[in-house]
Amino acid sequence: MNKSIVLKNGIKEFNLKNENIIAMDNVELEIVPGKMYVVMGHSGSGKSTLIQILGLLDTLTEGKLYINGEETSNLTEDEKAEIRMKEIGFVFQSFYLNPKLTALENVILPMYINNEIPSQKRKERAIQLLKSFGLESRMNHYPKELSGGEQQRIAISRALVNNPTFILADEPTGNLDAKNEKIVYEYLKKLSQEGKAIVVVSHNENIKEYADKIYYMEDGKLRE
Amino acid sequence: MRVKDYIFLAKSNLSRRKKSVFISCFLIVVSMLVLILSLSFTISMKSAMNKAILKNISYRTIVINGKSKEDIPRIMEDVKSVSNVIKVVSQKEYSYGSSNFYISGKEYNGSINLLGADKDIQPNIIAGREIEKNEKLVCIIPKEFYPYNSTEKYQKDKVIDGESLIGKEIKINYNSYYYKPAESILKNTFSKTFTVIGVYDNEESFSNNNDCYISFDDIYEIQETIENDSEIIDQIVVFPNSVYAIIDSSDNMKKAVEDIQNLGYNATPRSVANIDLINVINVVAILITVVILLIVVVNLVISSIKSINDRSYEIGMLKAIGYKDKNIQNIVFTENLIIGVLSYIITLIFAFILMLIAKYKIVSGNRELEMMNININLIVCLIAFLISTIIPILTAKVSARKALTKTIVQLNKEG
Ligand SMILES: Nc1ncnc2c1ncn2[C@@H]1O[C@H](COP(=O)(O)OP(=O)(O)O)[C@@H](O)[C@H]1O
Ligand SMILES: [Mg+2]
Repeated sequence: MNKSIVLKNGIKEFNLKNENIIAMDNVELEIVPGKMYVVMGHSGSGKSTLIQILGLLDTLTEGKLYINGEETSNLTEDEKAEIRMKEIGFVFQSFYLNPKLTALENVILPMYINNEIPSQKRKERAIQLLKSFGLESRMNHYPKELSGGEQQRIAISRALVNNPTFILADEPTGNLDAKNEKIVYEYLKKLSQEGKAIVVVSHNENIKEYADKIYYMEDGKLRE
Repeated sequence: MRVKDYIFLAKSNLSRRKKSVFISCFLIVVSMLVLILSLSFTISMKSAMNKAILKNISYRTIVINGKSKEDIPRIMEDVKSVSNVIKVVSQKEYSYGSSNFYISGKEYNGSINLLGADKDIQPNIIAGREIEKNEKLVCIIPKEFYPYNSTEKYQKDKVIDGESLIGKEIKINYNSYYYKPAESILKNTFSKTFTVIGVYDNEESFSNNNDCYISFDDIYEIQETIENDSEIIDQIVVFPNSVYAIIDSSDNMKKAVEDIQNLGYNATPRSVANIDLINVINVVAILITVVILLIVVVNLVISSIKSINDRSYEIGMLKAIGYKDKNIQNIVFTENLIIGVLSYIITLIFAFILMLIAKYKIVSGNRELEMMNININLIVCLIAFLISTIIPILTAKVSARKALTKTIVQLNKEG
């Protein structure tokens, strides 16, 4: 089976009190493994909405979303959760690490619900991932003891730990300095070369040079 | 997800809301303490009373009224076959009130209530010995013996220590009369002398302190002598014509009364225990517990909803990772369960400490309380355990459901 996320005629409306906001307007998009997709756009243009839709965190108002060929509108919440666990890794601007868990424990967290990874292998796997991100000396530190760059690398490790095909990153470098930004982009690029499908939304021009494909978003409309 | 993993996450989450965890634990501990201590207390009290009632023959005696003396043999025959009845006696054998007696030769101006007893039907002896089979002219007296008129004011200094009379004699005088319309004229005086052989605990058995036990046969002889020797002149004198049935246990009283009534007789219990006060204490304690528990429920719901809301990004993140609502609900559930179990353990420790203090500071030295043998009741502890675990389970369900719906959408609302 070919892995892919396909969005057709994607429309997302938000109904506020007496106002309708069209956050996504007729978006067509196809994501396949081995590529790094970049979506550029100003704040409020609908980038985060797109990421949430692609990752099954929100539902379309109109249009269809296919994941690995399967149409998703009739899936139950639990089925969607299952797909998120197996196929999708999220990276957010604000990391969202659990402050009471160490770096290592934060990375182990997604594996608790993954029966395919035996419980005695989980720790080992998390350590391996953290090592590959150069964090071996930081594993037993709590998030507040770590720099923003380190925290985001932990968050990326966490996104990767269940071995998903798709990594959806929403402004992953928004809280990072230039040096750490570069490190994160390079990691993401490397992952795409290893066969992951990477989607990064950002308003940062620096990311363009890493992209295999660049899209622009404006008022909910997506163009190449 | 393994139980171990749930416990690990729950513990780390609880460490982030120590204050509300403390308040919840505190309230659960208080309510469960009220429940365990008060119910244990009243249950001990009730069982002590039941024990006392068991020991007091009066509480397991049924009075059956006959219309005339001639009815008695037939009633006795009928009642004997009723189940749980261990002895049937005529009123003549059951009791005799004496107001004319000598203790160790000294005349008393009071009253003794003589009650029938035999090998199987007699109060628990705390000093001396029991009445043996077919033994006559012996008597068992109360530990706090007060052979005076119960209508007069009670004078503590006149109480006789029953044990000091063991081996001594009590002589009872009884009279026959010429019953005439205007007056009754003394005919003959008879007497019987009894040796005190044993003492029973009148407080423990809720007995009058002038209730003395002699054999049924002796009572019968006294009554029979009076009846046979007296002469009735132009007068109607009604000699005792009731039958007394003694039941094996006070628990079977209700049933036995009904059974005898079903035979067509007018049957009533001789004495009825009053346990209203205990029931009032129970109701008040349960009310207090329920009120505090309601506060606990509200507090737990509010604090777990609040903690879920405070962590909405994190829970949103869990959902993004692929955690199902069920997983998240179970984490909240485990958090609350830990609160419940922890509170329960603290409750038990406090309950035992308080009980120990109560025993050494209050109960010790107070004979009535000591008698009740107050102790923590295991069944009440079990009920408390169920309550302190079920409430967290229910509140987790409510709060998780309330809080889980809107978490995900908020994930990207920062920056
Ligand atoms: N949950 C929501 N409810 C209402 N309006 C929303 C919601 N999420 C996003 N929007 C609106 O949709 C538009 C696109 O938002 P967003 O996708 O967050 O843009 P970006 O990530 O590009 O800044 C904005 O106008 C925003 O106010
Ligand atoms: Mg955004």
